[in-house]
Amino acid sequence: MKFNTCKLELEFEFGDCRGDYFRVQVDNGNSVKDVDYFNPYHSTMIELPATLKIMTSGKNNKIHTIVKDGEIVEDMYVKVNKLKLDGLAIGNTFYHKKLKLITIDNQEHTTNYFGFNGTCTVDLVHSNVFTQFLSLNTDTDFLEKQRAATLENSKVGWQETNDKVDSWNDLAQ
Amino acid sequence: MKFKCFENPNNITYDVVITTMPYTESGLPLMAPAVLKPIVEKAGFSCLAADVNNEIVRYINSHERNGDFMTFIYDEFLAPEIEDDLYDIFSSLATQLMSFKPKFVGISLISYVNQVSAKWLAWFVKKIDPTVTVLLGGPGCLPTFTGPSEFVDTLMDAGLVDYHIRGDAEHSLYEFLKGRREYSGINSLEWREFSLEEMRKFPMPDYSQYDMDLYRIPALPIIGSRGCVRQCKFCDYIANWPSFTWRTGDDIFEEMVAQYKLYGIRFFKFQDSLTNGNQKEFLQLITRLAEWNTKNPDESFTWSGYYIFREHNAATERTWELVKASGGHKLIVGIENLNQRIRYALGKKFSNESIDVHLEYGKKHKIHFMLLQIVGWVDETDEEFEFIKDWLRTHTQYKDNITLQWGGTLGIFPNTWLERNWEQLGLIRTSEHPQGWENHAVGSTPAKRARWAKELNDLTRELGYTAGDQLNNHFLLEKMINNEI
Repeated sequence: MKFNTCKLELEFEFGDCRGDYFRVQVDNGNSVKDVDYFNPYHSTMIELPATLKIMTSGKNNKIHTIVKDGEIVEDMYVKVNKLKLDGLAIGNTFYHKKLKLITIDNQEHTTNYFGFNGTCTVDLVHSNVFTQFLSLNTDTDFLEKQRAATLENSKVGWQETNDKVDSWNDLAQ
Repeated sequence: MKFKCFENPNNITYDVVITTMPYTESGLPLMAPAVLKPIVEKAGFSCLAADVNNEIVRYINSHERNGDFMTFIYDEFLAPEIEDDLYDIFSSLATQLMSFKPKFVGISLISYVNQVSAKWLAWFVKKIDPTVTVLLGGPGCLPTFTGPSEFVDTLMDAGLVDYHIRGDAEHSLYEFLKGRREYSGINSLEWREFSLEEMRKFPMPDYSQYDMDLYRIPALPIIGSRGCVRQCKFCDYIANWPSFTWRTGDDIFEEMVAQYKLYGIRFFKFQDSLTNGNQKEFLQLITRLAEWNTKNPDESFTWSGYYIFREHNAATERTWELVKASGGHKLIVGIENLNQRIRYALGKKFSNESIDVHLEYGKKHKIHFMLLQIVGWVDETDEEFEFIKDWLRTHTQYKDNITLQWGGTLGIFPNTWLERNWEQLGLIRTSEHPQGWENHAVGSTPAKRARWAKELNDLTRELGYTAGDQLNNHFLLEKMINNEI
């Protein structure tokens, strides 16, 4: 078995400005579907590897962002709140560190809060769902930090093995 | 990867497959599948009992990137360097398990550290056959013993798990297989502890499908009791088994003899929380074992297990003589803290003097102790920490018969006395992790406590004692030192 198919689900949150909402379309490589603010969910079967595109449109920044005294008091937005593979939600890091919106004027925003017209591409490059899920779920910064700390600690003897350690550890289970 | 416990060259089928899950660092067989196998068979189903944890842990521990596996186990993160290995483990595991074409797959979780593995085994199994019924059980389903399990609920919502068996499964799994799906403990918060009578009637664990050559320690696990006679303030075990129930010494002895005759193994590891909770029955057990060992010097038994120190008295010397004669070999003792003040405060009322007495008898009779310690009690001071170091310096005469296990420092778990008295104790939660707490009154922080643990580990080794060492504790302490908890 290839273990390369799964149900992909997206949960969005829409925020209006002057009663208007973003138009959101999700392209899974085979079809493009609209997601509406009154039913902010998208679900599709995918076969890996695949590319997912989330396209936002319909915002006029002059109309759909209200600024008062230099502060944004109302903004049209759409947020990606959850991405699930076979019902299993990807952890928080993904939404804040791995979602990138490329706006129509080529600006890059790393966030799950989409406040511009543009396209967010999620490359699902792995050939099985297990690895794909873990890859999306991984906080690479944390992983590197953890590895560096382990290395550092091993240098100062933290991971030093003790010749006298024997089966005792097992017996304590 | 090929798993010995799931080898199936003759395409045998089983109705039920029950397996353990990594990561549980143990060189001993894990009991649950062997305990449940005869229960399943009594209900009229065939059963494969598999302890795959052992094979995977051995693989991980010998892997040059074992730290990266721990990041997967704890955080569900993927280090690209082990991507193929990890996929191979889980896809092979599920494929080989499903070659037995089971109708039910039972996944046993001994601790929360097994959750990520269990989740992915369930996913692979359901991918291979969505009609198979997946059951989860064991204390590891929950962050603590009681209350709802967010972990299980998530897997159930995702359709990866069909049933959650809570608490002891000896009766509820039987009822489940008999079609009584409403029985207490099946997809319910409540479950029923079994009575003394029931406990004594359960069939013996069946280890016939375990390959004993794969374990570092050729020992058979055994259960003599449930619950505990103490009410320690940090303990969540007693929240799950509030009553102390026990088997008779005679009953336990008969099982040891019967298991020896079946498997030829004479070393037994008690997997309950204490061997000498009921002193009368314990005395009977060690007396029978001592008699056996005297009569059968070439077939003598040895045993190991959790043991509680009590205040010493006139009977202490005789008890230690019997423990030795019975084959008492390595005893694990929850000292918790070498400061008498702290030990009394947490619920273990035996004096420092009695520790010395017991250690002296242990030395005399060549009985080894693993002394379990909790570093950083809620109000432990720098002076008390220094006292522990002094204790180590002044007790080196016991260095050859004690091992010190400093563990991962004090974790505060739900449903414990500590958790219920959180505010009263002046503690501040710094993260959701059990170790994530501070006490500003004594300057106690996770990083400080982890440094204490490291210092004690270092001093222990420096003085020539043996220090217990576990990869998962290292991982935890490193996180604490790096302020990640």
